[in-house]
Amino acid sequence: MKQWTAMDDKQGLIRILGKTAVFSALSVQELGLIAETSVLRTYSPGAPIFFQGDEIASILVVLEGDIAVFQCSSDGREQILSHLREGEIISVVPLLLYKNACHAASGRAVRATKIVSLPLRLFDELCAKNAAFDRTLLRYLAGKLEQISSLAGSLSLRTARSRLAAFLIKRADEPGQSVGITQEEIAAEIGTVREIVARLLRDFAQAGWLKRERQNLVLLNREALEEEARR
Amino acid sequence: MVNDFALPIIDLTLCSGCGACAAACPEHALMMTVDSQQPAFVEPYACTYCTECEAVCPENAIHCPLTITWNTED
Ligand code: SF4
Ligand code: SF4
Repeated sequence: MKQWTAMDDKQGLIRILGKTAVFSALSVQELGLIAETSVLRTYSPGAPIFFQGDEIASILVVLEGDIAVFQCSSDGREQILSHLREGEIISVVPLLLYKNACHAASGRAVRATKIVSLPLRLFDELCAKNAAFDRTLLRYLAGKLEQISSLAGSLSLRTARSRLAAFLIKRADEPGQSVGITQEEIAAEIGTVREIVARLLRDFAQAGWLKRERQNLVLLNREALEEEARR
Repeated sequence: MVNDFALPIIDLTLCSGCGACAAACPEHALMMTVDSQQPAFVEPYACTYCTECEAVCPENAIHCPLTITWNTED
């Protein structure tokens, strides 16, 4: 497990950022500049980190943990748009698109999360001076675009049943789940409501694709779930 | 498996004391206390983790988290 102890551990920060896809393009000196001017923030599970509509005052980079990025409909229903993990930049799209940009969605910590905040001016300077950094940033943005297109396609073309099957497979394939997930949270991940998730889980159990053992949802039939996920 | 007998997690700071969870609990595992009018597990071992209490709570004060894993027994 990674050790990140205090803000005065500049070497630790340089090491962690240097290993991430976007920031690995920076030189040790440039990473050092980030370490000199940045501030570490820590959040416990469930804590809000940023709010839709708030101005982006600094560049926020995830050092460790998991942030659920979401928007709410007018009736209060949540849709999770993405998860940001180690090395990812918060609200990178509005940040690069607009001057005085605002967060286009809100974010909350799913697990204990550490982020580092660096001055906007420094980020602009690094973009202006380091072409390799620009290229990795572009690749990162392309990845985000692909993720958003895939979410849009999934929400508009696939059924909730198919999205739930895909979600269950992805979740069970993730190593070491330290926190459980409620049916309400699953609904927010796949763009539906809790009642539908509960009904579909019952359907899947009746079909013999999974079994419920108290808090453990045990998947039994990968083939059937994968076929459903492709529908 | 980390914990074989989990119970629903109730955040009493969000609870309004409406009693919907206790009324919905099919096993009478959860009841409202007479003095504080807050839900409490009077029969914890009767709880089947059916998640009904979570479904009816208007304050989102009850959470029944699920872990999702592949079957390893064969
Ligand atoms: S999970 Fe079901 S059995 Fe357990 S307390 Fe809630 S309603 Fe009662
Ligand atoms: S349903 Fe929710 S708000 Fe009402 S008593 Fe139970 S925990 Fe409290």
